[in-house]
Amino acid sequence: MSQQVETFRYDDAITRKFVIATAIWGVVGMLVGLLAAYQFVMPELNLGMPYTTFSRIRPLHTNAVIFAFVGNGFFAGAYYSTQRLLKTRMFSDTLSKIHFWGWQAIIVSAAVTFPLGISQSKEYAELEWPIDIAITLVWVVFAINFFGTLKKRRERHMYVAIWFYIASIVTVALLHIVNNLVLPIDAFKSYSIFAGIQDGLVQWWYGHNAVAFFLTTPYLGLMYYFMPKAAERPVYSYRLSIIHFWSLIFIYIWAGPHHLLYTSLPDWAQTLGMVFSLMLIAPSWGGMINGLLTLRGAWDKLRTDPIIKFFVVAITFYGMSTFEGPMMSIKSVNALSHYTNWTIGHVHSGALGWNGFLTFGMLYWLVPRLWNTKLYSIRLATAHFWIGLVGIGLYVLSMWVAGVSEGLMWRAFDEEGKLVYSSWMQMVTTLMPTYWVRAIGGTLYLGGAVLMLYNLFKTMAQGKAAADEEASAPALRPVAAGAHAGGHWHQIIEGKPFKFTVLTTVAVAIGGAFEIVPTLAIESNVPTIDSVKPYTALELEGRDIYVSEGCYVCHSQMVRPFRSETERYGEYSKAGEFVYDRPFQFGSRRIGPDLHRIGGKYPHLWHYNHMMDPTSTSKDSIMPPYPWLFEDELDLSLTSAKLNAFETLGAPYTEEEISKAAEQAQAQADTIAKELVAAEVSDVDKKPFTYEALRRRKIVALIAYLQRLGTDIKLDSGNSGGDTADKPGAGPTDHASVQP
Amino acid sequence: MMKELINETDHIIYPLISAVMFASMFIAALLWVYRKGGREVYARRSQMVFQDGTQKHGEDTQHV
Repeated sequence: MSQQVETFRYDDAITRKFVIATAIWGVVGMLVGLLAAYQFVMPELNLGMPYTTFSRIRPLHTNAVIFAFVGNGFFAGAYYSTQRLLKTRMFSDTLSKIHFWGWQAIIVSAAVTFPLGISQSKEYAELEWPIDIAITLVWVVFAINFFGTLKKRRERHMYVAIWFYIASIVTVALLHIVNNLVLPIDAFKSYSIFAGIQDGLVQWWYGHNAVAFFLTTPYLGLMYYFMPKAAERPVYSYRLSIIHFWSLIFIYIWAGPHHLLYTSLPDWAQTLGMVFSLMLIAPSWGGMINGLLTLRGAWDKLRTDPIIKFFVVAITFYGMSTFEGPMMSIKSVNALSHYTNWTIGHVHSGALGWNGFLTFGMLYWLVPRLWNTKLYSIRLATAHFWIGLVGIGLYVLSMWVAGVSEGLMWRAFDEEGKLVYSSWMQMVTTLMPTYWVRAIGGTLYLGGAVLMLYNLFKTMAQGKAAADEEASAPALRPVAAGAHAGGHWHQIIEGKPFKFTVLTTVAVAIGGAFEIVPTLAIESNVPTIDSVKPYTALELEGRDIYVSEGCYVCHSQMVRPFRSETERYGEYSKAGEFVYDRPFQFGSRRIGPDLHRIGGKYPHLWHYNHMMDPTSTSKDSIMPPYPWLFEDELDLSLTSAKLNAFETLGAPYTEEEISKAAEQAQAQADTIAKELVAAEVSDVDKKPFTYEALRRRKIVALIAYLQRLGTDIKLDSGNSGGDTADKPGAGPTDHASVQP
Repeated sequence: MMKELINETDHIIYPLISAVMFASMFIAALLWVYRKGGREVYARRSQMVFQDGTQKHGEDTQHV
């Protein structure tokens, strides 16, 4: 019986929309990154405004390149390839449009809220809860559209790219929902339902797997589609792609704890994270080899075709960063690399090399086809490739040098057993040349992207948006019950989207469940400490300011159990100290020193001067002044609601403390303000600050919080402080100087 | 009940179970892809990117 051939059209308009969004958001996201990079060498480039200060725009940069640039890139490639691999138009044009415009609205809302200081402070999950809900809804729209398309497909077998898309859609939904479980206070503020080390584990389970399932698996799907297309060769080994897929999604989800090595996370979870990170090399390199060897017999194209150039370098960087990542997960290596710029170099070799170059190659491939013309200039595309490659090289190499240098400097002891670099500023000045090289590398990379933007828009201008491409294929024949279309048992899942999705979900859920559930359930994982008490109302307000300003971007709050760290900062951090920290503030890098034991180390006046002008207390500091903290009113209208939320989540606040939270906060603020006024502090206009004005400023709450940090179990030893808050005066001192 | 059970379990069990699960999954995947007759099936599958039902099967270079 012959099958009737059906004629239909692919929806290329939606791909065109995402293509344009990818190119534009890419340049915007990189531009913000460049502004952030130049603030390392010229802090005044924040223009004295909170909205353009590094600590607020860094999340804007990371979110823009991850969700706007790479996200739109994934959607562009997925909409194009999914339709063609399944031989059908998307399930719903309306859902496609809702997905597109909804996603762009989310990006715009991020661009507005981050500069305003509205942030959850969880890396790559900084957006506040109303936007998180919007993300969930848009993602559901995408999922319905995608799985609806699978349902109406004309091709029974799902090509491996589709598998990677399925894994990405399911896992990102899981990660996003769990990591954003919060208790809202108002439209702009919420608290995580997890606290301290548990919040840290959930966040890095998310953070690591956001890299895995937003930056890696979707792009592997794109690689398996666009690399063969560009090379005009089938993938090197389809068998290898299957092993690659299942091994990768199973292993990746376990590796999150490698972001928390040598922290207060239970040791078994750290070891699990490290071992699975090492195992990740195998599937990752399997995928890399599969991608590169797709060019077998066609390596000559590498000389002439800029698209192949971009793809080959992208896949090579995938291999490099998936080797480097597991190496950095080895505990002894991580002891050196963690919190340093090495991590920044690692992240950018993946982001600029793998995601960036694969996206560029894909855009150069797609735009001429979608606008029915030829690429405007191959020479410009080739120039883009070389400029971008040099840019990556400068960026990554400089950060490697910076990371290894500072890691070694942090731990250097002299013959007498003293820290060689007891002054943090010694290290800041040493790293300055590497920050310049990084900024130049970033400039080159952005320059290349601008060239691409010009080239693509010229291509679009000379062409014409092609009508939706016509295609024809026989309708999918239903399979009789109990029979398998291909005669093989593997068809049971390869040709059955629902069963395949369930298995994929199980594979990724196992790892998360095995790590997170015991960490939440086993009481011995977070031993309670009697002396650790909830924050006072004012300290809590100060903490929220710390979160809002993004201090975690430059300062960690986690003293690792190394002599070099206990000498520099004080007693190492314990899991039980963070039980009231919502969200946790461990941070992931130290542009400035760790702050977990900063409480009581300096008087209030030191902090006041430091926030007004960091160079007044720490010469050569690259931290910008925060004058707005001295001008903005301290808002205590939500303080009771905040304490009430903490009480709901388990903090032992009394009813009186909750009902009188604002008064108590003001009383503590008054004490600090009196001391500062007695020291004759000036406001931002250099005029004497009146007590009446100062007691209502944000800076007072922030000082209260900083003075509380790490003091609950603080040992009465020399370098770890003791209460020096009452000592008068605060002359130029080093931020983290040590007196062993 | 569940919490008590988890609390009383030796933590070493989690890495062990995970290793066994991965090994099982990996072996199953290997057996799956190297089954008899698989080579021909996968040779066809790898051609799917070129079979999108449009007029221009295979790939063209006219756009670059």
